[in-house]
Amino acid sequence: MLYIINKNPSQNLALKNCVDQAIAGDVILLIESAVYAVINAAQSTLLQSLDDQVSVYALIPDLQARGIALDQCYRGVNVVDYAGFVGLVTEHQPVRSCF
Amino acid sequence: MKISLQINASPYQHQAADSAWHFIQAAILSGHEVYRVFFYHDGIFNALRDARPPGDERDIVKRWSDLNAKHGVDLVVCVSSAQRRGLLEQTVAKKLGGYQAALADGFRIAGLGLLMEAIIEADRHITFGA
Repeated sequence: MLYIINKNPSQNLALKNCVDQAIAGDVILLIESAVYAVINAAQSTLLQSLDDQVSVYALIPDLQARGIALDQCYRGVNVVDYAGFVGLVTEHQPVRSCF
Repeated sequence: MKISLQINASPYQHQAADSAWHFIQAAILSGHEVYRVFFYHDGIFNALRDARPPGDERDIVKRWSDLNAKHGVDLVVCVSSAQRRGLLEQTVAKKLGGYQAALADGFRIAGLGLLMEAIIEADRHITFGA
């Protein structure tokens, strides 16, 4: 399953719920304010608790819009542009947006 | 691959309409078909004909109309969500009398049947929301 999260995890439980539910082979894509989760600080402990078999991606334009440099990202996070976003959607079924 | 989208949030207040639009551009560039965009709840404000943002800003409504004109993407606005918020298409505005048609070019009004059809017919359905 591809989970798409768009909320800042310090204000919303969508990411935490996905982290709790995700199983091996699932992918979590962070867009909009959810990209704050990748900053290598307290909040990324959420991502550190993930199974190694669950991949996490963040959308580059949304990182840039929020002034988050790639070297600030937690090391387990991959980054994609919109073409990569489309690629993740076509490679995974089902796709679930979590709010 | 056929992809359909659903937008549940108002433009300018949330990022959903921008994210969806950029996603669609990338999908079309990658050779995919955007089967339908369904505007639901406050997402219906993406179809507000009289929206007039400042000239140096992106015009989200016009951007959707242009997408329909250029790529033929089916833009469907939920009839119940729209009427609740006073966004009426021409026939209803005339029937009620004293109202202006408010639907921008390239959009059409329909019911949830078309949302269901999009979910069934498309290979993927992606929701963008608040």
